[in-house]
Amino acid sequence: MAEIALGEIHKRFGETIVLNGVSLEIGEGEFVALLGPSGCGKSTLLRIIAGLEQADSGTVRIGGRDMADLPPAARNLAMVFQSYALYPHLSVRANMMVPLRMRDLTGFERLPLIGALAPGRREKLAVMAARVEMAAETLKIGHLLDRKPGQLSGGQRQRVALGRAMVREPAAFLMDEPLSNLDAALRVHMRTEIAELHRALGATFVYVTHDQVEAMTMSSRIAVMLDGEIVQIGAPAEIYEDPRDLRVAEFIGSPRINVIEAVADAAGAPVAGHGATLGGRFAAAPGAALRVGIRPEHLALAEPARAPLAGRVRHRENLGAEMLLHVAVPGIATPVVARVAPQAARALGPEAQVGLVFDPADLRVFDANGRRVAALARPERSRAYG
Amino acid sequence: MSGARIGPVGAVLRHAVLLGAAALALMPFLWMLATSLKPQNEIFLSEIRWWPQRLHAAENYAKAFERAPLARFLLNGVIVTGTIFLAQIAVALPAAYALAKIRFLGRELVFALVLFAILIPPQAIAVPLFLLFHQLGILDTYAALIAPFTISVFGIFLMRQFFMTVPDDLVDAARMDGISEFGIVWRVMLPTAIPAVTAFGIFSVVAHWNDYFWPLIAVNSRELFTPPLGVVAFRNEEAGTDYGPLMAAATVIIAPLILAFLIAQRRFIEGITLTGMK
Ligand SMILES: Nc1ncnc2c1ncn2[C@@H]1O[C@H](COP(=O)(O)OP(=O)(O)OP(=O)(O)O)[C@@H](O)[C@H]1O
Ligand SMILES: [Mg+2]
Repeated sequence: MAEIALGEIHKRFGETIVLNGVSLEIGEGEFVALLGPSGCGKSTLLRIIAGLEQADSGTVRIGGRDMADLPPAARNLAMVFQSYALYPHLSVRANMMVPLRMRDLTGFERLPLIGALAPGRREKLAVMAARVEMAAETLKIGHLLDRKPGQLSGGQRQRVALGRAMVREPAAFLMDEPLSNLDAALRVHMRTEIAELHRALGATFVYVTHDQVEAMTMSSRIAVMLDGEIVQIGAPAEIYEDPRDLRVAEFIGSPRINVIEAVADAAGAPVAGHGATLGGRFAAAPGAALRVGIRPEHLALAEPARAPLAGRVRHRENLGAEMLLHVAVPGIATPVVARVAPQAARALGPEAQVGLVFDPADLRVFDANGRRVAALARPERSRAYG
Repeated sequence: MSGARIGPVGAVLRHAVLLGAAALALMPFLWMLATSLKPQNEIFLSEIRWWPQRLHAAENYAKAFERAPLARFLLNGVIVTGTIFLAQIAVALPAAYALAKIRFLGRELVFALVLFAILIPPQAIAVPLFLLFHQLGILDTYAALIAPFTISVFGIFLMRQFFMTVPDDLVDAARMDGISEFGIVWRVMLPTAIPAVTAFGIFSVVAHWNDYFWPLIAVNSRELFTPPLGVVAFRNEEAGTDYGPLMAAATVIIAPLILAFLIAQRRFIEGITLTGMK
């Protein structure tokens, strides 16, 4: 168990800048998710922590020690790969033994045949075998120990990969999209298992994913990465409620946050393209272009005449517990999506004219560059026009 | 294996064609076998006779072993082809691993040179090699038979292509586990590459067991003759037109290859699949 500190990591492959000054502090025993879209440099960052890749500049410290020039094995980290990367010719047991054999046996003891002559080798092997058995017990793969990876299902392989990582009790676990090869149901299940494993082991976990649900449900903190930079880091709720960048707001949350182009009026209230004042007051100069974000669940149905947003229902998605309404509001380019109770929406015919209301406190306002614009006076919790 | 469904007529037809082609390819071989079983007076008959009226196998084979040191030739063949194959693997696997999995400056250039070297026919460099070995004073030794083939650029190419298909994650996992780069070559890459190594092994062993050209240039002493040299020498010096023993000798000399192929073929088909990785 150890904390990990990254300082100003830069990395480029040829002309492409992959990491552009990434700094990150991960506390002991913390579960941090590195979340970001494909190609933003998450894997590269993880590989730099692991020592599989060299940063062009910047520092990696693990447990307070500078890791520069230390080979991967000397860092005492374990990595779980997206493709599991089990040794295909070895049994599950042998797979899980490899990291222990490499660490605890001398070169001579690892030799085939004559290695057996080394004194104390049998005792060491017995200790290792016990370790493997214990890890297998924890992961419920005890009955698979004598199989080859080719004879396992995806979920079982994933557990073996976790087991191989666990046996040597590393300072930290690095996981690169470990669940993305599993089917949806198994993914949900393994999510809980990994979270439980983290709790049981109390070790530091760095978990790379592009799946926001995984990041939201498993981690104590999320670091959102975009284009080689960590844009925001914080607890899942904080990232969701209080995005500091429009790209973060758009990346987190499904369906995506609605973004409405607006202009600040003299009081700092955003006025949408179709002329409606959206409410609230924000620290923006009069006439400044704003982009106003409002999450689908913060919209409610109302009388069209009295609502700031009104339009025709273009499309309905019934998800059972809730209904997503896509409403085409004149003057706003993309349909506004509202998440409403199915009972309320069922009464609506196709192409019905509806109004959408919201609390101005739920608006997240960004400037033209996508940076968050602070709310001035905290608006009272009341529905605009409501 | 999936394939288009064909009716019984199609199946019969297909097998007929395949059997015909196989028979054509096997004909000289079978004729050699048949001849090795016949007495001299039955060999040059005008009719085609696959099975001799008077079986002369024991005499022919005994004569073959008696007149020429066949066992010695076979042993030479095993020493030379075995050493060549082991050396080729010892060179090709690390080289292929470096070309496939390690990023270094000039990697593409080195690989281009490997491809280029494949294009050089061995005959073209036989004379320079001969002169070089003469200078070194190693003509007419095992070393002369083995050294020119210890580095197989084709082997490097083949193994590199195979290693390209091994997921990078597997290599990285091994590095995380603390296996050294050479350890990865022998303990991770080699076991996953058994099918490719077997294929290359068949190619290499057959090529060098049957090679006549280079041994003819490189050695003079009878004790160093490889099987093909042995058969030819046997014909020139001993047998004359005594084809029974000659074909017996040829059969003996081919037999190890056939055996080796039959054994390797099973491994070949079993293989170790990479399914454990996805
Ligand atoms: N060895 C390499 N050589 C050149 N470019 C590379 C190399 N490895 C990664 N890249 C580039 O670096 C960028 C970041 O790659 P990285 O694998 O870190 O992305 P990622 O965030 O993990 O994406 P994903 O979610 O798809 O796995 C990509 O644009 C990729 O093309
Ligand atoms: Mg990745």
